[in-house]
Amino acid sequence: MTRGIRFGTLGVCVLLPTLLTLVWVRGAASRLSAQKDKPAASAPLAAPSDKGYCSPALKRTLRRVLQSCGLVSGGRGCQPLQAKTVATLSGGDFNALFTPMKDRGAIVEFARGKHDLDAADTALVDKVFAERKGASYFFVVGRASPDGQLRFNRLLSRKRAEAVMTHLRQRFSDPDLEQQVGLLWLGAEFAQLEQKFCDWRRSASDKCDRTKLNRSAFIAWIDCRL
Amino acid sequence: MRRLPHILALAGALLGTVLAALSSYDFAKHLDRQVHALHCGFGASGPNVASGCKVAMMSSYSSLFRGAVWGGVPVALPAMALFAFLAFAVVETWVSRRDHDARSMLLLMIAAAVPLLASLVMGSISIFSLGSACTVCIGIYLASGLCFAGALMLWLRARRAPVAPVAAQAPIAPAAAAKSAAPAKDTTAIGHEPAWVGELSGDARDPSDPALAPTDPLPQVPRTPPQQQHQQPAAEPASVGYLAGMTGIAVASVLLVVVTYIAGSPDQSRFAAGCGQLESAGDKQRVLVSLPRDGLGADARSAIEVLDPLCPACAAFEQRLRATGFEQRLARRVLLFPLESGCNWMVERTLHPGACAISEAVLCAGDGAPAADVIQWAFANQKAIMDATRADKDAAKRMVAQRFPRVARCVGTPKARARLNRALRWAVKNHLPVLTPQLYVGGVQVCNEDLDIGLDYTLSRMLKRRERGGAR
Repeated sequence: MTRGIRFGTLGVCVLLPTLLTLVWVRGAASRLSAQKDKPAASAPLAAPSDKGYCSPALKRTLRRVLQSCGLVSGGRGCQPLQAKTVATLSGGDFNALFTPMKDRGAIVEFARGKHDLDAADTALVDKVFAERKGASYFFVVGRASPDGQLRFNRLLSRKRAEAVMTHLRQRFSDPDLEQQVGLLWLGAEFAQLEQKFCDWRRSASDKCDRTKLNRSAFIAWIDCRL
Repeated sequence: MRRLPHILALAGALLGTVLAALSSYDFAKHLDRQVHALHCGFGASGPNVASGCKVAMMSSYSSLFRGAVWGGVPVALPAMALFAFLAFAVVETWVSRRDHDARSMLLLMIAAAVPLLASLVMGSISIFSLGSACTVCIGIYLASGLCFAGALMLWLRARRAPVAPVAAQAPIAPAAAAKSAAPAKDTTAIGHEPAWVGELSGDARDPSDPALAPTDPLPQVPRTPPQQQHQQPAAEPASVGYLAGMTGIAVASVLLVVVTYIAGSPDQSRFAAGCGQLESAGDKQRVLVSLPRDGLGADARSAIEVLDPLCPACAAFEQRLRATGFEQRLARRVLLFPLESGCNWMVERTLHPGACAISEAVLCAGDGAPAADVIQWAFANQKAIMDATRADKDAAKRMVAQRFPRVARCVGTPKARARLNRALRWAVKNHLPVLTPQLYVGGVQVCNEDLDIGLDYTLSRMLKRRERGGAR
């Protein structure tokens, strides 16, 4: 009896831990081999943002603008008439595309006939540009008020857009800038900003009116994946 | 009360066996490379309890031979075998009446001292190095203490007892009784025997005295203490062979579980080839922050670590990497990937408030020691920074500026924010998983499942493989 207890205890105490160990490791091994046949549940991959407002229609228009304005295929900038053509939209519809980006954009206002950025302008450009988050494209849309001649306004709106671009190059020295920033200059002949854009962030602190609003460079990040 | 030492030793051994088995089971479950819940708490619950167990299990102290075996051999595994042996040894000495044999009990006590010493070492590591408590581990420490206390009491008792108690023997002649009592008299000189031994010696004061001649057997029976009169016959003193056999069983039972574990563990070597490659490892925008390279070996390999300075897993990973010793063989650069929605559009909700500001501070500090200092400070103060930022969104910026005045004017500026954004876009360009930490050695991703207990095993193989390949 005593001998039985002694050997029984020895068997249990020595063999049981070994058996348990064997069961555990073989169990893990079989679970591991079973996983090979299943698709792994992995973390999502890093990707640019794609907001809900990026409807297929908006993406289509953006793609056309970006391709025609050189962002996708090389080159730089759109002529106003090109922009008008490729957008295949009315001025109002073109502006409406940007409405959901109110929190992602701003309007840099210039003095009449001027295209140089003052401190308030550069501060606003810096702030908006630094709020990029996952956006893929930055739009700079130069405009002019209808006060001057057609050619003068076209040139002025181009200089306004380029002034912003030059500042971005100097300030952020980002080698990918050329692939990120879409420049458009519309003069005063297409998609003039409406009064409702007075609600947007502006570099000028004086009273907003439609004429002043269009002596501007409109800037915005586009959170769409094309 | 007489059986208290046995009960203590046996209870400690059984409790230790069960708890060490639970701990070993928790560890072995992870050999399938999945995330599992741990047995943690015995009624206690909550994130702190669970994280204490997790910290203990993931630490380099939880297992041995990590470089050779994936995850290493859990310390709890030999502990389980040893506790089981102790349970056997207590029952064996009890049943075979060797609990009166000082040599057997000394062996039991030495065996019980092993888990006790290990518990003292592991407990100190838990308190002073890991700073966290694992309830199963505490249970094992207590079990070790119980078992040792029982074994110690048994040994002390056996030392005081005669080798083969007279009253326990079969009827013997008075002269023989006197002879058998004589050794007890000897031990009186060193003052170790209980009071009743003196009485026994008194009866045998002079066996040749005619007054004590065996005229009548009844008065000649030596007086023994009441408790000894109830004792069962004792076995022979343990022979050297018996002691060697018991030692052999102890060693064999430990070796058996260890060998079974190593031999039965799944083959993980195929995962050492990594889990993918960086698509565009270049850094022309200088978004990667170099860590100090002092003390790096000539064979150091380029490595990129994706981390969030406020991510507890990243801080724990840093400790594990340091413990592996491979830190000196990796020329590390850091890609900051804060899991805060304020700057990182890839996370839906903020996991680590303040991580954007701290990440900017790391970028502002610059390569080498300054960046490493900010990261180490953030790792050490993660909870305080996150708690403060939950209450006041600018707290992280304020705290880092206070600690590192040199970066105060840089954090929060458009330039710093744009640089952090470029770092995140580097992750986009390389299609990195949205998680931290990640480690890339020579552009090859160390599988995420290998970043904890399998880190030593995988890194050693990845580095060897790259050495053989000669690629940097």
